[in-house]
Amino acid sequence: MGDPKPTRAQGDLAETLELLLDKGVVVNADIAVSVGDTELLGIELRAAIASFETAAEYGLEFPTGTDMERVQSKADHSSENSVQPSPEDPKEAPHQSVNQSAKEEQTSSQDGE
Amino acid sequence: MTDSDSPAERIEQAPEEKHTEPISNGRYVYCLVHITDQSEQIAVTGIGDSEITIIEHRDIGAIVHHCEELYDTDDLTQLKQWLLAHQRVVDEANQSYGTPLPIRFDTIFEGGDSSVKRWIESHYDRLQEELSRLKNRSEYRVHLFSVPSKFEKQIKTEDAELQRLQQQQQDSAAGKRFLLEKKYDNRLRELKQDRQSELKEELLENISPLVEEIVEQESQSSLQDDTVPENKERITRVAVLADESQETALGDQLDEFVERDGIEIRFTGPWAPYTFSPELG
Repeated sequence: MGDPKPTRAQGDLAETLELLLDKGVVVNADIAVSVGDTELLGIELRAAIASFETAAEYGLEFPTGTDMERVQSKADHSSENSVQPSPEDPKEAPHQSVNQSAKEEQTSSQDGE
Repeated sequence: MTDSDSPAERIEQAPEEKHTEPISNGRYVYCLVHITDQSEQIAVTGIGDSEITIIEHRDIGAIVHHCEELYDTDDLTQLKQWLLAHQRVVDEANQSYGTPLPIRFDTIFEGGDSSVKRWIESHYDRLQEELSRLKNRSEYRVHLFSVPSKFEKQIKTEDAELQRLQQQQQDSAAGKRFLLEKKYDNRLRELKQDRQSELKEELLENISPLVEEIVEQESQSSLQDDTVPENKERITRVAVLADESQETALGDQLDEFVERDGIEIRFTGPWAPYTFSPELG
């Protein structure tokens, strides 16, 4: 038996993304501005996420009313202009250390201890 | 924040109205915490290396930095840095103050400290209640995968009907063999689905005694199957809220669960309880 601790590896970036962008307390007060508020805000941010892979491959859920063409063109633009980890094979880069079973996970650098 | 030049130019090309005007006296809020006498200062810097401060109101604190605009970029590397910086502050807040109430990325209050304090005051009871409900608890995420090759092999060896169909195929002429193959495939698919449902139920049964809450996540997240390793299929994924003291027991339970052929588990955490956080006005 290994030491079945949960991981917080670099490969969990996708999980971080989901948690931080999709979950967490949503503040609906007038004094609060948030990228989640409207489809206009954060369109660049969403484009950055989309450039992980294309939005279609990734199945990103954009808010209804989002101008998808604009997001896509931003995403394309972004991937042309920034260094992308092997864009022709997007499966490679963001997936380090994900295919472990619990017993294989020997967490050495766990946060929060 | 930093490299505003080129992205800004690109923004201007877009005709849509955009929140470009600066935020007056903005406070980027990472999370809310319960302040006690033992609370320590947060030692890390925030997004864009900003200085982290705490706005205290009664016994609730908002972990913030001062800012003047929303964080928006189409640069993936930049976004990753922001997210990791955000997460680092939340983790640090967890260390210093105990379980925080995490706020969604890029939530900024206008109107300075007093605005944040007023907001805390107007939601004080609810915030108190949530912070005490989440105290000493964390979110963990469990992904259950099957390895189809192994998974199917096991089903094939266990099911008598499949074996019978296979035998029949070998003894049949081409036309009939084709039909039998179809039948075989259908049976295999059904058994596979049944087996996956069973496993999912079993997983939930196994972990429920150890956790406070379970929220099944849609199998397609907003970021879909980014986390499905190659040659695997996702059976389910769940977010659980568990007492930190149960972490090892939960890990052991999963470890035991995964002791069978053809499945794999991915167990991540501890996270601030993002999935278990409320929506507030």
